[in-house]
Amino acid sequence: MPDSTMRITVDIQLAILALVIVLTGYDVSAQSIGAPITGRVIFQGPIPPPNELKVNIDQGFCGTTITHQPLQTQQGSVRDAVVSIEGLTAEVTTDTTSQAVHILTNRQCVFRSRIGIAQVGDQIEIRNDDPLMHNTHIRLGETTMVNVVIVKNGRPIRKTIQTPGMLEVKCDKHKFMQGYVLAFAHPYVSVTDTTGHFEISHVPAGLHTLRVWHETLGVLETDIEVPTTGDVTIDIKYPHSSTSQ
Amino acid sequence: MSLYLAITCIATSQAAKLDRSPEALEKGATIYHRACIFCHGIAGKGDGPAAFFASSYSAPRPKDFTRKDYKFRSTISGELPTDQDLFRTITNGIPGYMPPFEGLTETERWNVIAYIKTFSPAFQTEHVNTLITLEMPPRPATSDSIARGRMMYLELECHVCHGLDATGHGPVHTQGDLKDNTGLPIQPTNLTNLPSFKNGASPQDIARTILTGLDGAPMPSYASAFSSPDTSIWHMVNYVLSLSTATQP
Ligand code: HEC
Ligand code: HEC
Repeated sequence: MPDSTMRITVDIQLAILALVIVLTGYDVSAQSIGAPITGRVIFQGPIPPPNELKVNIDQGFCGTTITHQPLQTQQGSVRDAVVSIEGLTAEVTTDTTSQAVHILTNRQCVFRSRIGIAQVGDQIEIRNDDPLMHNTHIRLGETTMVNVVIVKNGRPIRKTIQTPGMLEVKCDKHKFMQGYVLAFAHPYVSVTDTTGHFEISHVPAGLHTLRVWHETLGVLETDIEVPTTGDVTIDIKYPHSSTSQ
Repeated sequence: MSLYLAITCIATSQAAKLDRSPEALEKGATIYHRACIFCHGIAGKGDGPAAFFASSYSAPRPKDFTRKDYKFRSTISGELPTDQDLFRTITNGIPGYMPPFEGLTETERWNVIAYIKTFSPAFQTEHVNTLITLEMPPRPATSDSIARGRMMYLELECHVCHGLDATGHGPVHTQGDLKDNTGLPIQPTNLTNLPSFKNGASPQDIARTILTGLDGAPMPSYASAFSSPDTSIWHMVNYVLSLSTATQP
């Protein structure tokens, strides 16, 4: 998972915070820490057949087709949906020591992970595990953020994310390769795991907009009231018609 | 020992030459309107009257200055060009696409650079450039060096785009997969035709093209394939240069 490093950083921060609380006996109110929002992203409509992507180069290694199902669910819960709180901003640190690093690996002619989240200031590390050349071309809209070759056993390349937005990851050599990194100017974002669950920590109290993005289901928005104390649990449901365009 | 291939971080002291006073910008605007607008458009979007007729269906179109990705840079992929990069492009022109502007005085060229930089806010917000510099001179183009360069051409898979014969007809191109960032099809350069190289034809220019890539086009940066200190980049360059001498009688 691209956000595992970030999770670890957050965990360490929490541990330090807990230590501070123990040492100082300071009573940190829920207001200053913020509430966790947990939940699931749900879709129970018809699942379209997977995409059969034709491989037209390096077939000896990549195979002749790559079967890809962008809509993966487990008991109706959707994986790889990006859940974020809109309209909130938090101090984004430009301190390089706390930069999270998201690993984007070319493996078996697929980007792993295909769907990632990041914060402005974080880095993407591009790697290649395959015995052939991959060129990873990341764009924000029409603008190249980076376009680099990593040859077999080549050195990884790191790139800092400067602007929020939907980064599209492609390989000019392998047209069938595609992925996304959604970059945010705040930390209030999570991507659903294999069981369709997400968790966003430290959300300040108030009325917010929760936005869900999924590669094929599209975007959903809903209001959410975050109280000053206690957790919030929410299930967000895509309508059945989301796959029928 | 000096490093062969050094990747250096600099804060933008490079703009020292650039006068951004209102007077300089006004002069720059006047030159822009006289010499550039026909192709690059009044708002710098690359949509001047000439652009409408020329190359509507294939890349490259005149540069859209509101986009921050530039092809001809000495910086790593994804970074802005330096002022010197822009100066070189404007002075030398772009063979086949843009005339050289040596006719403008140096001050006039700096003024127009100051002006085109106002089209993209990135020049205000992004200040650090990571330069790729070559600190050692090219190696002699011995037949051994050229042969090694040919091997690298295949190992680094240049041929998937540029073709085994380097004329620009590799499989990725012939399958119609190569598009530039505007979505228009783009032809990999015919590497046997040196005078057509847009980013310059000296050994240093070609090394720069390979290491930085041409952002906005599919030509990727190969910086990670050459470790420093490393002399092998010149084998690659010698091979590319040899392709054109071979075609000349
Ligand atoms: C005849 C048309 C034409 C004229 C006149 C012209 N340009 Fe260009 N210019 C182009 C084209 C076409 C490109 C894109 C070439 C490419 O992408 O390969 C370009 C690209 C550029 C670039 C970007 C190179 C890069 O690194 O991506 C700069 C800078 C530039 N022009 C500056 C100028 C300036 C300044 C003037 C006026 C003094 C000017 N141009 C006049 C056609 C023109
Ligand atoms: C993914 C496809 C691709 C690969 C791989 C690739 N190139 Fe290119 N290259 C291009 C395209 C497309 C252009 C033309 C860009 C343009 O016209 O703006 C180009 C342009 C060039 C140019 C000319 C730049 C100029 O000044 O006009 C050189 C030199 C070059 N490539 C060398 C190489 C070498 C050497 C390699 C391998 C180390 C390589 N390329 C790998 C696609 C590729």
